[in-house]
Amino acid sequence: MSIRALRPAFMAAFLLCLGVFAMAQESEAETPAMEAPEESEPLPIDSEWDGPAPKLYSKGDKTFIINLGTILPLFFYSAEGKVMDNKLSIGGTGSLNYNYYFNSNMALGGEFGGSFSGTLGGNMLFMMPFGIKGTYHFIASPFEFPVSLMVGGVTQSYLGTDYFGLIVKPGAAAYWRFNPDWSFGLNSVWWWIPQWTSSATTTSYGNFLELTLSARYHF
Amino acid sequence: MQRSILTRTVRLALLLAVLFTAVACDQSPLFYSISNETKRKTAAVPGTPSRTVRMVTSGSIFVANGKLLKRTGSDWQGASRPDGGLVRDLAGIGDTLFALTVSESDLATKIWKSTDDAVSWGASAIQLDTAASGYDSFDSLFTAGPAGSEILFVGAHKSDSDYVILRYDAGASALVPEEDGMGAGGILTGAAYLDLTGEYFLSTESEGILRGTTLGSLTPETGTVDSSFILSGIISVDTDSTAGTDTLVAVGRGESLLLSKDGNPFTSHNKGYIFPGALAVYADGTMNQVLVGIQDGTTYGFMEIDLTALSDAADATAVTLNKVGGTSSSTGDYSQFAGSLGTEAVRSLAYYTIPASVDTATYGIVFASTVNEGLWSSTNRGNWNLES
Repeated sequence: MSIRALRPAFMAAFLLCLGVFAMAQESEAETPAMEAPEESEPLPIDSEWDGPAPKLYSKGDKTFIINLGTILPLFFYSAEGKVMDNKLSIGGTGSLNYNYYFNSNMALGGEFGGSFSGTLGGNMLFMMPFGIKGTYHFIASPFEFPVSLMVGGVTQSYLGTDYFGLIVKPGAAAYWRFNPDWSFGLNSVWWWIPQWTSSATTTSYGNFLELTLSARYHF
Repeated sequence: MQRSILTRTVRLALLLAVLFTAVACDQSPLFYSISNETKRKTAAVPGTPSRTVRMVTSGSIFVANGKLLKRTGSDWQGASRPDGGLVRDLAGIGDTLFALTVSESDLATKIWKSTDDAVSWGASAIQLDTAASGYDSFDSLFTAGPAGSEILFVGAHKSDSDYVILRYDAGASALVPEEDGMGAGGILTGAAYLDLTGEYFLSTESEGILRGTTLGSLTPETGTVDSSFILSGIISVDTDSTAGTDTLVAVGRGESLLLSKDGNPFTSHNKGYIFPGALAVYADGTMNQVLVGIQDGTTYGFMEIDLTALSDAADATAVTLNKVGGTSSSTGDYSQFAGSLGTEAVRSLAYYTIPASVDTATYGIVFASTVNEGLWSSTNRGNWNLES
């Protein structure tokens, strides 16, 4: 496997580390300014707010997400309805997301990423998807369960031959809110990639499952 | 406002979907190709094998990768080496096997001869004639000549700027100079014999193609002395099944293909591929192709020239290189080829018909010697895989 092929994974790992490092720096910077309470008893404050509890998200909130993990080739099937031999092995994947919130539950954004998977014959399949992503959040603080759908394009490369086409990625994730700036979780996404050709025999539909660790920065 | 952005986004996504669907239809099916891949076998002949050589009477096939290996039936077994040196190259004339060995201790090269399927070798290596004194660094072995009277040609050098082509006639006592006084571009890269005119053709990297009917007086062919060609191989083929071979195809690392028909001067054309010099004729009575090793970026393996089309080609420009695969190809399935041998640099090719007397049934087999990835084969136009 060439170093060039691993660039997306290295980049994602680098950004993930950068995010964690930045978060740690923030925590350290904040610690000296905080004063430990002298006693653990609650402060004698009565809230005069009698309206609804504030939502976790509101319009204008943004998140930046880094995903890194594995991609499992599930199955290919042809336009003739036959399941084709799946000769790919488990590979690596990573992606970067930007999301903009329109209300307390819905966000729209963009995503791009990359993946690599070895083949039975010792070759390699590379895929570089990108697209528009819509997300709806189910929230049970401190946990969040976003479901998403990305539609876009994917450049695929195998043995020096490229294929550029459609990709549809429905997915679901579970996040734990670590602090106001960061949340971490697990992400699972189905990749559906059609490869249409002029022949029904060679037209095929690839199905993959992405399982990634996810770090999300809120701003 | 919010609904407007959502609507626009959905429309954009749908537009992208339609766009990507539209551009996708005429592209190569990668998933289909991957589904046709085969797992590589364990190589029986690993490393960088030499050309394969077949003995006429026994049908045994030999190849060298430092060691000498012999294929009997479909099994590869070690064969006795003439001395303790590594076997670098092989050539065969009739039932005579020639081996070029390199000493591991002092890198001295020698050429040996066996006439009994490498069971025994000559008591001593083939000697140099006094006229070739000093040219004892042997580089390569090739054979060419009328059927039954082939000549062994040896590429050799005295120094990095002093190359020679040596000749060994059947029954001769020593190697004699065929062409001397050549510079660094005088490395012998191939030999061929044209039945139609009774001429020998010896290709060199950049000293051109030497041509002539009388050995000892071959002369560089006009139009072939071009340092940009970097000639790597030559082959003679029979395009009309009459009068023996009538056409010559030469190739070079400089991406040029040279063609000579019916003894006429060579024409050349840049084909856009690096040609490592692997050439063979695949003719099983139905499929008739010239196999040509190629390299193009990440694409390796070989391509084919249809012999009928070659017969009709007026010059090198008109010669078409076709991808393997299909009903008239030496290989049935292109996608399986592309994911296997198509990823490897091929340094030599050979096609043999194996008779039932040698193996369990009669079949055709193509061998491909690769760089660092062992010896590959395809039987009866089937899947390519390592010889195991």
